[in-house]
Parts: sequence; C-alpha cells; structure tokens
Amino acid sequence: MHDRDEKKVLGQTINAGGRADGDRVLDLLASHPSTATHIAYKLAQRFVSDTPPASLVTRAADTFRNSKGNLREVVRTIITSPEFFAPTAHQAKVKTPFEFVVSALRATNAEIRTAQPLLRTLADLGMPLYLCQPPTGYDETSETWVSSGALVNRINFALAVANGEMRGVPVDKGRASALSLGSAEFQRQ
Amino acid sequence: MTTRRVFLKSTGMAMVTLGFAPSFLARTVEAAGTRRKLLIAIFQRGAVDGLNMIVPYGEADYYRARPNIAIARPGSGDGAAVDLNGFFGLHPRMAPLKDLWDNRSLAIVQACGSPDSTRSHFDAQDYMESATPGVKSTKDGWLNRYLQVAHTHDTPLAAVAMTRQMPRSLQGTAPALSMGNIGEFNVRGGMGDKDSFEAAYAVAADQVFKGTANEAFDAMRTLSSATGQKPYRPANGAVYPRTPFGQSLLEIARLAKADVGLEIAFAESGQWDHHVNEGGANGQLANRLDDFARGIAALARDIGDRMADTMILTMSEFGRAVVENGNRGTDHGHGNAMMLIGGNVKGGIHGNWPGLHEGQRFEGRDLAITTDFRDVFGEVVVRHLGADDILAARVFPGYGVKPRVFRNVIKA
Repeated sequence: MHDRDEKKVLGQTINAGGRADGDRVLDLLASHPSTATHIAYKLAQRFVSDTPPASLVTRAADTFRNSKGNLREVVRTIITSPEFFAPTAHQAKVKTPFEFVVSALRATNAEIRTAQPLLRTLADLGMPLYLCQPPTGYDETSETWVSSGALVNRINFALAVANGEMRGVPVDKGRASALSLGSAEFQRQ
Repeated sequence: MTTRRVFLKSTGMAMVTLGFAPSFLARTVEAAGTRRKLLIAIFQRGAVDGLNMIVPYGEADYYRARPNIAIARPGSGDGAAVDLNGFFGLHPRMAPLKDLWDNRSLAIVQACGSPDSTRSHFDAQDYMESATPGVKSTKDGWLNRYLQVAHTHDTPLAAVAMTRQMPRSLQGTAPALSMGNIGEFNVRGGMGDKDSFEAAYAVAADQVFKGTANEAFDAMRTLSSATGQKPYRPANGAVYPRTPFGQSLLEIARLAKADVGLEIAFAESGQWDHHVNEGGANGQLANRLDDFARGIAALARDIGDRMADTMILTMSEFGRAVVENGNRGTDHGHGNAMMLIGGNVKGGIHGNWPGLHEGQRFEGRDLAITTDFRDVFGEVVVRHLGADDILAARVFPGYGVKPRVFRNVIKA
C-alpha cells in the first residue's frame, strides 16, 4: 500500500513517503470545504429531516470549519437550532429498523435473554446488525425503509412482541399493545 | 411500431422453435390486449467475472492472461467451455442454459457496461440501478421510472422484488413491493389482528404510512386469492436449486403464473467478488454459476409457454480485469456480458467485441465497453415492454433512448 511514488490528490502533490502520505491525504480531506458541508448535511439529516433546511446545513458547516471539525459543536449547532424545534421537524424522521426494534423493546420493558430472534428480525427488516454491505453505512432516509413489505414485517414484529412470541425476550404484557407498536405513529422518531 | 396484436402473433409463431409445448399459441393470441409483458431483472451483485462466464476461448490473449483460472477450449475434456458460436463458450457450469441457446432464446450482449469508470461496487451498482452513471443524486431506480411513465401499475402486484429490501432499481414513487417470499407477505396472528391493523391505518393521519399500508393490504388480498394455500409445484419438471436465489426465482414464477398483473420482477444473486481463489472449471465462481444457471434454466422451464411474453435480463455492476491477479483471482474491471432470455430475443452474441490484447483493453487492463448498458435497458423498455420512445426517454434522464444504436437484441 505504502509505495514511494509521488501522487497528486485534489490538485496537491503528495510526497511525504510511506504512512505519512496517508496522514497528509486525510488532513487534506478533513480540511476540504466540501467535507464540512457533507458532514453537516449528514448530521442535519440524521437529527432534523431527510431533506434538512439549507440554512441549517450552512450554519452547521460553518461550525465544522470554525471548530476544526469538532463534531460535538456541530451537533450542538443542530440540536439547539430553530429548525430542530420547528413543527415541521416534529416526527419528520422514520425509525430505521434498528431504532424501531429497540424502541419497541424499551416501550415494553423487554428483558433480552437471547438476542438471536431480534437479530433475525433486524435481518428480515433489511438491516442486519453490523452487516451493512456498502461502506457508506445504512441509509438514513425514509424511502429506504418505508415499503409495504417492510411495513408488514414491522406489524408482524409488533404482534410477536406483544403476544410474547419472541422467544427469550419476555416483555411487560401490561405495556405491550400490538396495535400501538405497529401503528404509524410508532414508526416515527 | 408494430401493434401489440401483430407483435404477439409473430412472436407466438417464433416460439414454436422454443421447444415448449405449442398448445399455448392459441391462448396467447386470443388473450392479446389483456396479457401483459413480464420483465424479470436479475442483478449479479459483486461483479461477476464475465470472461469466465461467457468464455472468449477464441482469444489467445485470454489464455495468456489467465494461466491458472482460464476455462479450457471446448472439446478439450472435462471442465472445457461449452461452445456457443466457434469463438465464445459457456463456463461448463453454465451448461443448463445451453438448451436456451440452442433454441435461440438466449441473447448475450458482450462488452457491455457503464461509461463511468468507477471500480467501486457501491457506486457502480447505484449507477446501474438508477441508470444515471456518474449522477448520485438520482432519487429513483430505472424500473420504477418505467412504472411511473407506463401507468400500468393498476394492480398492487405489478412490480415485485423477491428481496427483503427494496432494490435501488425499484425505488421511487410508483408502487412496488419487496418480499423475501410470498408466504412472508401476510399479517401473522389472527384474522382479527389483520382487520384491526387495516382499520387503524385506514384512518391514520400519516399520509405516507396510510398509503403504504393501503398498498400492503391490497396486495395481501390479491396474493392470497391468487396463490391460495396449496403448496406450489413448478411446471414442466422444473427443478430450482434449494438456495435463496433459486427459491426467489421459484416465487417469481409462481407470481407470474398467478395472473396478478406482474409486469416487473426483480431478483438478485450475490457473492461474485472473487479476488482470491476464484477457481476455473471448479471452485468458487463455478459454484456461483451453477446456482445462477440452474436457477434461470428452471425459471424458463417453469414459466414455459409464458416465455413468449417474458424477458429475463441479467446484469452485474462491472466486469473483472482481464489478467488474473497474484491470488488466482480477478480484480475489479470494466466491461461485462449481459444476458437476455425470452421468446422474443434474437438468440446469439451481440455487441462489438473489442478484443483482449493489451492495446485493445480499457486502461490497458480491462475489457473495453462497446455498448452502454442503457442501450440494452432502453431496448427492453421500448421493444419488450412496449413503451413508446418519448415516454421511454423519461426512464433514462440525460440520455434518452436511441433506437438507432440499439443492438437489436429483441425482435422489433
């Protein structure tokens, strides 16, 4: 991997030698203006909506640049913003399968004695744990996770949890209602 | 363009050579106007080594480039390629498709692929499925855009992916379903549970989930009345591999025969990324090709007379380097082979073969591309699915359809 040849990255000549080449490229990428915008967009999309307001992305990207990439500060900018608290951002995000499964277990006070059936559920819902194929990670947006097939699977998971049919995952029956776990409202964050 | 009726008549006649029972002919012509075309798209994820799948045994450079993994020339004993046309041959484990070649219902487009030179699986699959190479912002997939312009999705089961997750190709605003298998697509628990959920979603304020649930319950009704409770028996002695891929094709055939208005079906086959110990006539690639070919052969046999209206289209995100690597495998390349199988293809090898000599390769290392994959997709949309040129152009934004560069793989 670490050859001695000179290379060009983003218009700059890299000739630091060996591993230092890689460090130099990472520095270049981290300080590139597009990186700030990209990271800001991804975080705003994660916390606010699938199509976050450009005004918010711009401010979060400014924070990224001014703080030399301090992610805590970028997130602070996002979650204290008026866009974050806007009515249009309320329940704008659909839960990923992982968020859906975890929130259903928390809502029913589930005790996880064995994770196997839950891992199978996650795979059925299209989000096998730690097994995402593309290096970009699982998608954050609703069009990936909302489809009639996926909804049927979510309803079936809600039924299984509520009826105590998830083996090794006992729940608080008094708190478990299939209709609420499988409702449209429960599919949103 | 020919009318649908004339088209069906002529393809119907051509089907006599397909080797299936000809009794369907009358039925096909009779039903013209009500019967719709079916496209079954199959994605080989991971970039299949097309040069060992459809073997250019007539090229001396092929053997020079691959001392350890090349497939031997036809007639050279066990593990030799199965001859197609005196220059290309099938990998021996692709032999189940030879009958389809012999009755001229298998067409192969060589040196096909994307003008974008990315060697990233993720980007290349994304570009192929969105059919917008180089453009990452495209929201929907090409098959969904076809559904959007064709407006034929008047049934909840017009488009079905036999995959747990909706593939990029079918993502978009037109309704499409994805399911691991048909049995899975139902609300478990009692009949009362199903009704309660349907009633709750019918009055949901959330328009996105309300619409999705409406599609889902519609589809469940159609599915259960069409497929019933009986176990499915493939027709014509078709035997599918007992693998996820084989079973997904079996489920597609079952839907196709249930007359639920299926127009677009999608299946996928994985694990084609053989950087290490790819193998030759036997080994990793051979095992994947065995599953792939036996699955498709069973599908064509099972679908039987309906192959007159069916097109199976196979694709993979890019090909693999001409020269084998130091691990007896192959690294990411460029051009690849696509296959089209059906009653109205022109059987044979299509596309210009650029040659494998170093000077003929893309960037000195890969099979060059002489056919843009969108020209194959476009031909399928226009000549198989029957979209008119203007509507079809909207399926390929920034490119359109260009009938004059079609490879004429499908009978016009």
